[in-house]
Amino acid sequence: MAKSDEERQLKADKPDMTASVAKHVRKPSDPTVQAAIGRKLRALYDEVANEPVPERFSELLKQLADQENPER
Amino acid sequence: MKVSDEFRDQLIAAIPSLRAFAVSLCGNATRADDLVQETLVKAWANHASFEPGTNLRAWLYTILRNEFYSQMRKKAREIEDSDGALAARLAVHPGQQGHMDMVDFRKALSELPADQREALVLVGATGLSYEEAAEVCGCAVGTIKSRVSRARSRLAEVMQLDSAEDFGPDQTTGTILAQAGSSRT
Repeated sequence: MAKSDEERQLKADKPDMTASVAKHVRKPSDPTVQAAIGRKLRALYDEVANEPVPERFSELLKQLADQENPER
Repeated sequence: MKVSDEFRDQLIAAIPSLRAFAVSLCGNATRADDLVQETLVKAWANHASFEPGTNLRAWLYTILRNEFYSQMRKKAREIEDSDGALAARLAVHPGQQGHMDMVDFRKALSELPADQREALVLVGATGLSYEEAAEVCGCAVGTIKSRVSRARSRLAEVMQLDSAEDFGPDQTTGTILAQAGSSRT
């Protein structure tokens, strides 16, 4: 008797929010969380990688090639 | 030995991913491009030491990373560059404005220890294998694995906090208000 009273009291003390939030909390090792990390990481990286290459680099490579074949 | 056209073409093809890796290291677009420039000059001068058949991008990342850390060591004597200053610079790359979600993620990434961040980027974004990443960083494969795993756990914790907020009272209120608003029209 005393035990079920205690249980009822515990249930009343626990707000419903706790249960609904707990359902959504995933472990760091959760594959869904890890997949999301991978996606965001690649999105950040690709943002820069997909930018057009600045002209200074094609000019640089041209210079390097020219240095190799000095005009006589 | 002359640089082959094939080598030159491969260098050109690698520039976009070199720039992305450089930004992830130094957090500054202008400085990143200076690092890429140094890397290309060194790669050109040392092309004979590249072993054909191995991963050229991994070789280039190694040069870029060495260049970055040797500059850091030089600079460390001149200016005290704290992790906080690096984090602040990471937040201002012009091509990377966007969703709030990504802003939080980038902040969390910038706050990771540098060795964990580079390991995570190499394995998770550049597509290098654990073995190749270990060669780039000059450490054991096991070290890379543990750095990546610690980085992933830390980021997961941060994202967990974010998603817990998504289910908080603010969003519920917002949803109810939005529904009330749409049912009125």
